[in-house]
Amino acid sequence: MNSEELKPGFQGSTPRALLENATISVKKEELRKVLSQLKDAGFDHLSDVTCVDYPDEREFEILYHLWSHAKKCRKVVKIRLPRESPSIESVSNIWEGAQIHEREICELFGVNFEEHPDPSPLFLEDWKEIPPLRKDFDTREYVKREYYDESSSEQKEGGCFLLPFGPQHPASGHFRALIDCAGEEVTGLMLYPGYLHRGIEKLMEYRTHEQNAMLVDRICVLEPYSYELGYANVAEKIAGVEAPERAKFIRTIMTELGRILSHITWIGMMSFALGFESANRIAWGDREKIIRLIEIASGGRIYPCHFVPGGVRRDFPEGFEEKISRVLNHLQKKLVFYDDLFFKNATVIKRTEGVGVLDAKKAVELGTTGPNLRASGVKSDIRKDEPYEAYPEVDFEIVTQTKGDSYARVLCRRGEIAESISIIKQLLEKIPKGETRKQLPRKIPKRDARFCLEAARGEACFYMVGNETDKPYRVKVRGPSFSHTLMTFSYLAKGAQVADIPAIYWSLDPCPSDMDR
Amino acid sequence: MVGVAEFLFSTLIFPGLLFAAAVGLLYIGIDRKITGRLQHRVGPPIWQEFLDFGKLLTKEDITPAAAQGAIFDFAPVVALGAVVTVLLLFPVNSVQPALQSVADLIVIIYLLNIPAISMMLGGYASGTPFGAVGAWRYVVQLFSYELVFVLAILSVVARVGSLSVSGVVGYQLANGWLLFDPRLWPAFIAVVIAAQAKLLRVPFDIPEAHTEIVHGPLTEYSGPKLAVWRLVYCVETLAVLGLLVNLFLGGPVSHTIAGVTIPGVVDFLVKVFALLLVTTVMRNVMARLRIDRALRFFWTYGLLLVAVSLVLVVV
Repeated sequence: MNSEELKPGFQGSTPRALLENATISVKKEELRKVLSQLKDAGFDHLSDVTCVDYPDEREFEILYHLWSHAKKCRKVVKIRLPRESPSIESVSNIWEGAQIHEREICELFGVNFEEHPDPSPLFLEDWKEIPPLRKDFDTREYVKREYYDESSSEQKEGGCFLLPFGPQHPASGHFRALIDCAGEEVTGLMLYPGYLHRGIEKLMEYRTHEQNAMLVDRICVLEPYSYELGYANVAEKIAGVEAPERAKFIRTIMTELGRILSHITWIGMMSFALGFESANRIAWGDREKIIRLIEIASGGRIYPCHFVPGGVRRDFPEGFEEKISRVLNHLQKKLVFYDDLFFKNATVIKRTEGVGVLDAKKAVELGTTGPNLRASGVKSDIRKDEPYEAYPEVDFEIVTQTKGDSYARVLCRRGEIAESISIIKQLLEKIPKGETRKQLPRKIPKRDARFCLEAARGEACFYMVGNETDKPYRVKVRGPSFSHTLMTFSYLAKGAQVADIPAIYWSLDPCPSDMDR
Repeated sequence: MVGVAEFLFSTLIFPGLLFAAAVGLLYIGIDRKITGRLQHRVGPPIWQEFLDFGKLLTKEDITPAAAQGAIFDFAPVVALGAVVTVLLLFPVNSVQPALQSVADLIVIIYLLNIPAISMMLGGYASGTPFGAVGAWRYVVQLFSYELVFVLAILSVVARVGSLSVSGVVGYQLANGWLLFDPRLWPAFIAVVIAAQAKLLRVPFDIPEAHTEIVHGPLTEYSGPKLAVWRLVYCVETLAVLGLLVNLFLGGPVSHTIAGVTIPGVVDFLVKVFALLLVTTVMRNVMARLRIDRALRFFWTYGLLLVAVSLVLVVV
């Protein structure tokens, strides 16, 4: 970490300096002023808030990652806090979506956010230790000491009639919400994430790149490839190495296959949520075809562990391209079938149209990304805005809808499946020959890097800090479902009907394991 | 003595409990097999329902601490009694039902509502929010489909001029199926849709919508009680579809093919099977509706359809 760059503080409040530098360091007092100036200047999307612990310097560093949907550029605002009694103003009055990121940092680092609307713990139950993502917390020692101890659980109860939604529920996933309802109307919603909180960010600090490449798969079961790609890229970026061309193509093809896999799985989940089991079973049958392809290419069905920093672990086997084309042609035909069965089904339209309407401004405010944001009419796709891997080589459309309701989100994903099929077909024609892996230096240099990509659910980002060792000093993962489930879903659910809860929840395509990490 | 023996035979064996249970379980098994094929799956064997029923009988019976025991226990049994009785009251084998001239259509309509009411009571008594939400959803659903169901039957009654099922079946024996009367087509369409709601099949499985409220009133049931509920569902399917067969498809008719007399019950079961196919396909090509939409649907389109039939028949 280059400390000269960070120490002097925010250089003068001239708007020009604000806008020109990609990274700005500010003093504590100026934070809110600077961030609201930046928001007014067009940086309307708060992608993530990250915290890094520097015990040797006795400081915490908080990073605000911003993105401008209009200008298509990023900005990072850094701020340093003393490690003793760390306290900072909350920016949730500037971005509503900031509160969930701040709440996470408050819990995992013990940083106090002044005037935060709800600083209660998010993932951990009855935590009495020092905050777990601080460097002086030792996971292994804690596990040895605590693992078999029973912990008591306390629950917030209240409201007039509480309907549990998860974790033991057919449509919730590993996630719990208590729906406070008056008759069929939802009057309040209490969210309890954390059922899949494995502390992946902390675990990564104990592992080398090769080991982490296996671990990132576990961030999201439904589309592991995007996270593998993110980790591989951020590791390459921090090391200053570029992956070979062929590796890039292979990774892009497989990631797009992963996107189709995720969307097809989602067709199944969405139709299941609407009580339409036929589409669920048929879609999951098609999912199997893609899983089979992934197995052929990587050896793993659900967790491929295919991409490593520097390239891919395995080249495509002989004749694999034809196998992909065959599956793609099958899916193209099947999409027409799905149109009749699901996408244009009158009962599906009745259940989703006008349900869970999210307007563009509110969507950006809450940190919504990906298909959910595009369904509200914002033309934002990182694959186009900041092309990475082999995306500059392909020609594709950003699928958008305008209405922002559940049906718009349904149609958006339908369009994306078709686009992904065409992307893979283009890539298969252009794929170059050559090597598929470069060796990265073992030591991770002392600097930071951030890489954002368009996962099937939205913006997934990796932020990595190195420390001249073979293990990353800090990795922060931004999962799209974190904002979607905890901010967007809870916003849309209030005032909806109980019957709409699964329709709204699954139209956002949340992944609890990516939310909890 | 003969009267008592006959009564016991008809109640317990044919067309009572044993027959109803065997055919009901088999038909739902077939329904599941067809569903499997429609969903591009292999599907379970058609006797799967028998296996499931037997398995549930041997499982542990758990009554939640919060439940009101007596109502919770008796709800499934009352429901089973009601649906089996329906089979005794309408023609299954010949024009004459098993229990002769003690009841008419009005009693059957009443009896067919008892499973719904038992399920509501069981749901409320189970002491869980899922049961309560399911139960009140069922109340709303009952008020949506029931009027359509009753009015459709009334239009048949008005057409034939008899309140007894035997009368309706006898009339059809002489004059051909009522389904061939175009004036009753709207009523038939409406009553098939209402039957879908009565049997809690998609798109009207709202009271036990499992992605919203787990299994509604049945969430807390387990073991033998759940087995009885399963049996109620199977027999109810047979009873409701059987009533429609009797009212619109001519009821049981015995045929003589090449000198061999085939009993009316075979004809009856074939017709029920045909209706079952229709409801099975319906439940596999739709998503579940929301309760307010279902209510609106029945009170607008449903009511309109039966009203057209009723007016045509009466005028």
